[in-house]
Amino acid sequence: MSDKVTLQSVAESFSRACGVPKKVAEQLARAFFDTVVDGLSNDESVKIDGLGTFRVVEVASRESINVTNGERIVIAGYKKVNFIPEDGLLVSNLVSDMPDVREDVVADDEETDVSNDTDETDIEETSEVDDETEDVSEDITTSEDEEPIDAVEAEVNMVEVPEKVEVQEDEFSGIDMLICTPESVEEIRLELEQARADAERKLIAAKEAHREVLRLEALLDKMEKSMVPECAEEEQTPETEAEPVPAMVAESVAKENLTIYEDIPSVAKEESAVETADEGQKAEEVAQTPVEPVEESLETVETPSVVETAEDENVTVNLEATTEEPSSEQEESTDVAPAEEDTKSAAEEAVQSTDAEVKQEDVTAEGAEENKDAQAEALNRLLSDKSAATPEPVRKKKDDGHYWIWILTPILVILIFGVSVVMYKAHSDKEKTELKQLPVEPKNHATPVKKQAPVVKPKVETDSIQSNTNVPAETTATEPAKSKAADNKSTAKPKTYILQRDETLTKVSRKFYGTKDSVRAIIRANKFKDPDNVPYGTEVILP
Amino acid sequence: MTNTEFIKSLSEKTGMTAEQLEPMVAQFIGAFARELASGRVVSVQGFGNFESREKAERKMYNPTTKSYKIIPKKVTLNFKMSATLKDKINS
Repeated sequence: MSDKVTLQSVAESFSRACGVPKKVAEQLARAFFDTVVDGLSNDESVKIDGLGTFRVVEVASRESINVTNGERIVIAGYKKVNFIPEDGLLVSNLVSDMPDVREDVVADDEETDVSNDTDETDIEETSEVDDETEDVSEDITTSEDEEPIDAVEAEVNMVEVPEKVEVQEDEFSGIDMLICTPESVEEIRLELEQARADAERKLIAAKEAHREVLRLEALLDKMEKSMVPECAEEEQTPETEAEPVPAMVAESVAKENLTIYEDIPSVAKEESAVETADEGQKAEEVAQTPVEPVEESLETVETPSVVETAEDENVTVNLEATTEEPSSEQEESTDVAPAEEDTKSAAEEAVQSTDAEVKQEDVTAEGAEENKDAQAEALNRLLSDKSAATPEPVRKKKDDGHYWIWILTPILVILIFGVSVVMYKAHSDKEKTELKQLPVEPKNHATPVKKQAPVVKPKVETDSIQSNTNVPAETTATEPAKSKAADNKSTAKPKTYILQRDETLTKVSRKFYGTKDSVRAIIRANKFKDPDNVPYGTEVILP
Repeated sequence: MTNTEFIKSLSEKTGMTAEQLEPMVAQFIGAFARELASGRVVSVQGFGNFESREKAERKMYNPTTKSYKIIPKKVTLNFKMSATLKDKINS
């Protein structure tokens, strides 16, 4: 529509673009379309790569009406050439379509940004958790960190792959379509710049992602390193000794930590059975008989966290320590007992441990108390040490922010629920009382007839009789009274009634018989000439 | 008529080999398409007019989902054969 370009000018631009002589170019252009015409004239479709398909289509003959004289005419069928452009013929060359490509690129960038953001948040969260709790939570977080890293790597791959593909596409399109002319060179340059900018942007994004991966890896290494010295230290002190075992376990399987805690005792119990027997004998020697089950239960609790050798070391170290500071360790034991209960309860909530375990824990708590009573005895000290040694790791394992949340949130929820229930109850009670009070008040205001009607029946009858006698004059009797009057019409009904203003026979019937169906009877009794138009003041005989 | 057949017949007319022609044809089509893409009408005498038309963005109503969908604007290529080509084909 805008400006027409002849084939010559196209050929000219083509010749400029490829350095082909103008004459040759024009010749080629002519020949190009001549061959197409030749192909089409043989009733063939001509397919040209990069341009499209020319096809001969038959147009059926059709009837039409001559507009000038209204005659019907038949437009003869003919053949026409249909051209189906190849996909992307214009798209690859159109400037107006460039924004679409850009939009795609932008979308890609956004996706990468989002992924980076999520990674950062993950890291922040984990680091926060690390600051708060350094013991077992580390293991969990590290194992959690591993997953994000994989995800990040996957994302990086995802980002990189499409990038390459796009670049290739750009190159192809450039080679296919844009060559030689200064215009085309400029266009290519523009495209190149765009592509380069996009590539750079994506590269930066990918680099960032890669950096995140590195950072995460470094974090993981650090955590692992920090765990190793802990293990070394833990051998020296019995309190932290229990940590490495769950820690290692936690490393291997993060989320199944708790289930593993459950699993370990079953394995470790068998190993520790011998030891329990030995120590049980020791207990028999010095301590009373009731202490035995306590000790055993204690050890069964111990075993999940402590390995055989570690336990031996525990005992020896504890013995030494107890000789030095018996009082402080007993305190520890007493302190630990409730803490243990808390942690265990948390564990129960989290893992839903069996009732038997709970009982064991209770017994351990009792045992701790018993130890407190029997302070003088060395074996008891040992026991207390054990209780001090065993519950503490347990507490350390589970004394995370997570478990506090586990404990606190249900309590809070219950509290809130309870308060709300109490409030609701109080409120509803108030409302009830109000409701009770409310209906009483209108009764007080109501007419004496109405008030007395529901209370006692014999009274009602008499009252209604009275009201019925009064009503004709007043004409303001209430409905219940009316109904009652209808019930007792045989006694209450007067023989005649003077029709009031704006009162119809129907109303009268309703007033004295309760229904409007008695109108006919009234009319029959009175023998009205015009029952539809009875003047007020007339005396109506009530049958 | 496939592309190879087209190139073959073209080479017979111009006296150039198919190997020579193929890139040239591709470049010619590129120049042709660029003219069209810039919104100009390319008229080939004795053949027809090529015109790129911009289809405006429009709303489409889907009766089953009862939702409107915006179909973005697009550019289509329109070809109208010339009278001489019509005569040639219909003769």
